[in-house]
Amino acid sequence: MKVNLILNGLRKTFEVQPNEYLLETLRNNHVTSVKNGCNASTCGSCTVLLDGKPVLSCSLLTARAEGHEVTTVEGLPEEIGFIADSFGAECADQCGFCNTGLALTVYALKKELKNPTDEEIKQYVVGNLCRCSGYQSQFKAIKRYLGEKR
Amino acid sequence: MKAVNQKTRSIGGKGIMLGRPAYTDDLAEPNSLIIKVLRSPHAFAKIRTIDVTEARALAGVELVLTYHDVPRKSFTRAGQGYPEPSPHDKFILDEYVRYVGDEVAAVAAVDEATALKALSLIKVDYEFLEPVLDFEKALDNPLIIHPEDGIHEMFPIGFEPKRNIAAAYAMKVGDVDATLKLCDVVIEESFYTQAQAHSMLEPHAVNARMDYQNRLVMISATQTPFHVRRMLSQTLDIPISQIRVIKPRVGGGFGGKQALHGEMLVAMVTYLTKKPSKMVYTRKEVFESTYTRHPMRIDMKLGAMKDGTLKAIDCHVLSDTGAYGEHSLTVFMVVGSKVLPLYNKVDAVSFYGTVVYTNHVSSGAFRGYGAIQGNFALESAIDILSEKLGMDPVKFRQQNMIKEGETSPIFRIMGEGTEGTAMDMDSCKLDYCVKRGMELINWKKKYPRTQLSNSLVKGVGMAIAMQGSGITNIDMGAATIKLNDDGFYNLTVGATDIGQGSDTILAQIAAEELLTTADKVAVYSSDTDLTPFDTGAYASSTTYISGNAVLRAARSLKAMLLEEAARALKTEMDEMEFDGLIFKTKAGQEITLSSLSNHLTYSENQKQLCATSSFVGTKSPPPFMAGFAEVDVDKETGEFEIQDYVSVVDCGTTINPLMAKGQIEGAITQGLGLACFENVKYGKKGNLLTNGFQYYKIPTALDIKKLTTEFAESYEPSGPFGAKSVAEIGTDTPPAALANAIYNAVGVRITKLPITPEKILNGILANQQKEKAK
Amino acid sequence: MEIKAYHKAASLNDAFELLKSHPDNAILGGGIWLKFSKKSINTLIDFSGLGLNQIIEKTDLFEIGAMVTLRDFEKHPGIRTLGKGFLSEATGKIMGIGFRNLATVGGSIIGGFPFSDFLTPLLTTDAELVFYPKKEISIQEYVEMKEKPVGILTHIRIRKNVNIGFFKKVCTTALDFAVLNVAVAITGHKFMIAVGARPGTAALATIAMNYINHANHPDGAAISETARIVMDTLKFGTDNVASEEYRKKLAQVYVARGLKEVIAHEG
Repeated sequence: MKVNLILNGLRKTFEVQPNEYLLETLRNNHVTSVKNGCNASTCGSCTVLLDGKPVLSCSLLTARAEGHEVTTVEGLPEEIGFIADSFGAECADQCGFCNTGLALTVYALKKELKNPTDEEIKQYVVGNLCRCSGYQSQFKAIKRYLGEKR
Repeated sequence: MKAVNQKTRSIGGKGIMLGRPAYTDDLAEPNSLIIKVLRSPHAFAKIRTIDVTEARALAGVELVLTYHDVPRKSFTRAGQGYPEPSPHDKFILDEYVRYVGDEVAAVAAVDEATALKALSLIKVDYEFLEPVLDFEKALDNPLIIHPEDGIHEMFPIGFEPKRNIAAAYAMKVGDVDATLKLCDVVIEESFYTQAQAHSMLEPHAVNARMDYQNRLVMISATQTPFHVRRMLSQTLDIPISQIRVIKPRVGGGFGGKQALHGEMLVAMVTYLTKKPSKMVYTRKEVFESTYTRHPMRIDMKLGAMKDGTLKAIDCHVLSDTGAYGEHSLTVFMVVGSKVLPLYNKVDAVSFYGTVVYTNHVSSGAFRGYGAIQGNFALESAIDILSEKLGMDPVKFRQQNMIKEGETSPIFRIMGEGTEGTAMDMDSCKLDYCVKRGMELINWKKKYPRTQLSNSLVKGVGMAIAMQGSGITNIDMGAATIKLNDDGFYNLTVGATDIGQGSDTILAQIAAEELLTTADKVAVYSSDTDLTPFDTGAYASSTTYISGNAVLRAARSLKAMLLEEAARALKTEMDEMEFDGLIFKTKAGQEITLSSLSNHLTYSENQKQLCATSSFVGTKSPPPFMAGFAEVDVDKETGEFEIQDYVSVVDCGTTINPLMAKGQIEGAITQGLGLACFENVKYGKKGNLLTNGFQYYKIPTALDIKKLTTEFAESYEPSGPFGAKSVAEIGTDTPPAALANAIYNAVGVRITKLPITPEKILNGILANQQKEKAK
Repeated sequence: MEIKAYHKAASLNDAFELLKSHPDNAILGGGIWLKFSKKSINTLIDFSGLGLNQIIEKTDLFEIGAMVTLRDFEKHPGIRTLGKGFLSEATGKIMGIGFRNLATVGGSIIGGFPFSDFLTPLLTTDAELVFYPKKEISIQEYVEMKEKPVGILTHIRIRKNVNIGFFKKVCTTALDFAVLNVAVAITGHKFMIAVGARPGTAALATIAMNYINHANHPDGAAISETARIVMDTLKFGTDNVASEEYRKKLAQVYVARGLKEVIAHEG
């Protein structure tokens, strides 16, 4: 079946199976920034933005995304670049595999929450598992990014 | 220092976050055959017949492999130097399957759906065999897990497969039994550590292609590309010169990618079909069919005198290596070699044990590598002993622990699978680590416990630890630095960045020696064709071994630069100064590095300046740390919250203090995972129940409330700019520190990991019953 | 998990007729865990275009469309006032944000997950499920039903008469399924107590509720007794995660704590 959606600002039509999830569709179409960490809704590495909201692409049937806007890091180079700079400054990026999913969650966080508490920040990103960092440096990086005024 | 001890940001971080292709599966050929593996549903079985006719006939299937189709040559998957201290007990595919998830057959097809359909068409008639699922019943069990011919050890490691023994070892110093008899106080306790899943976010992945030179080119998420190349060549009988292995960006390893995973099957498929192929493990396969930490039982006996002198340590280990013996001997030996020397002044030590096969998931390398298991046992036992002596557990440690300038006979006796090397602790700031840690957690105020409310009580506990820096006289790392036009450098190293930042810190070391900044050093790593050799990312070797190789290469190149600059300025080398950018003579002539390099490339005395150096450690200087846990326990439910974990670490100079901190914090989190959050569970039939993140709970951002990490001022003369390694030390202390903190809070001693609220509550209730009975 | 066809429904009737027409047709909720189902689906019916993703506040209740995401439910300023926010808080503890932006309230109920942190607190409110074709059942009645109604869940109505609520999820890490979850509320001036992940699905502790609702004074002794009755009258079990004994102890402690907290709040 054909599914039409807007990917990073461009109209796209994908030929998919009804049981195909967005993660598979994206990676099969060269969007390698979206990572397959578990394919079971548990790790957050596959996070993309659906109409600006962070969702697990391994858990969203592509057919269900018909007509919606999908954003990956490739679609937000400037802002993701700022997030990357914050992570770099705190050496919060180790293996990096969770980073693209996390970056999109952080981007959405900045848009959605005004003046979040530390607890609210952690609650917002808790679904993005990381095995490398122990989370402290990531938290500092997120605060740094949220605190920046441009 | 200009480049070292700087918080340089990682080389690859921004590009990764911007989504540029970097990991193994991002780099697969677009038309790769997809490889899927049929896996055993039984913990132990023999394949009576396997019929792949229908699978082979399915349109789109290129190749189906069973044990009839692969070389009958045993090997070990362990990522270790050759000859490996692990038994060669694995065949690519075998007629026996030895754990639920073991490989039965492989299919290569044009797409995933076809490959999966082909798997379903394979008919296997299994002869079900009774599995051995209790490692305490494995030794001399009539059920033999490796009855087959053609398996062997590479040199004596105590391999006795007919007794289900993969490896065994014993050593002693003095006479433990006699010494214990003279002790005022003796304690004896058995400790159990569970398996643990690495849970790196990137599942194992490999892809291959025949390149235009007709060579087999593999891209693999591996920690040991050079070992992979050797093992493929030896087992598949492909000349090693025809194989190239590239490690790209890897999404975490922690030891779980140190051994072979899909490389053998992928190599075979591409070599036979001449087509590109790939294999990406599902998360279920990562849990069930890669590796775990070795579960162990450690029987610890300690003897001391009334005055607090520790006199004797008797440590007996039973380790479960699962279905295959990768890293069986070496992980077990580290339980002794990187733990017991902490108390170096004892009169007698006995360390001995056996590593047994079971029909569990194969155990393998995992950060800490035996030291975390040994640390849990020893550091819990030390607290038990201190209490019996009526001594403060910190004071007891301060009285008995190893100090700078001292040594331990264990270093000379125990290597990693072989004899060891004697060494003095040229750098050991353990005393500072303990004192500073106590300050940071406010030990004096909080030890042993504070009542927070009727039901809530706070406790603190601690542990000390050591690790190593590479494997003495075995691990070799090398580096090549070349000068480019315009005066920047290419650093190529075999050293394997798996996310810990080695590319970056090695650039910092090169930059420091070349008097420049890290951004002038472009790094490329881990390609068996293009980079010099390195054993790989394990045994905490990269900073110390690879770092020293980089330092030597930089030194060599600097000497070449000075020589060429002197020639260009028509002067003597000792008449010149170099600040990293400009060469100046005392007479006032100068030439920039940029200019010099352009001349050398294009116009005058043209030559390529390039230096390659290697390094092998003649010692393995241990990093040290003191870890302190602060935990609030709910006495009515046993639930607990870790409020803070303080780490004070001596790793010599921190090449990159923020990255070193990241290593410690990540390792502490994994150590806490083993201690209490993660819980490996098997079903009655030997099937792994916790085979997904929905069942196996690694710590989240909300669970790790606060980590306080500091580094001691320390300098290791044999390390690059005074550095020791820092990759593993962080994992070791959390299980004991937490167990000690829980004991101090509520008087419940957990000796079997993981520490759970239910176990704590049961302990509290049992104590209450004992009180009532009195 | 195979899906033969995908159909975007034009109306509820269209969806219902299609659902009835084949035993293997199914309604798509959030679709998150669809891939774990071993069953094959003939036609998957997407009814997301029918405006059922709204929360409408009426005088004395909230009407929540079945396709409202857990995240939208959790954030809604009106829902946040119910029981001083305990429904909102409980929902907010489910997995991560990427999950809750897809999972729907309808899916959470129809899924019947024993560990559901959405269902347990909901059971302590005056909530009603609205099905198409016309059928309305209280949530309490729904969980008791052995044969669930044929039809499509379109709305959940929650009355505003829940003044204060308490929710506790016992779990290992923040992304864990509940080992046990407990909700206590004062709804329509009555104590309501529900326990889930027993490991069985959430159940109302009716005998215990009866006891404390008839007690002269809900004092410390009455609270302890209520908690003990919960332990004795609800069915608990042992599984890989926890033993029956431990679950009982947890229920006892948290029912008591919950009652103390809601009583203190009522003043």
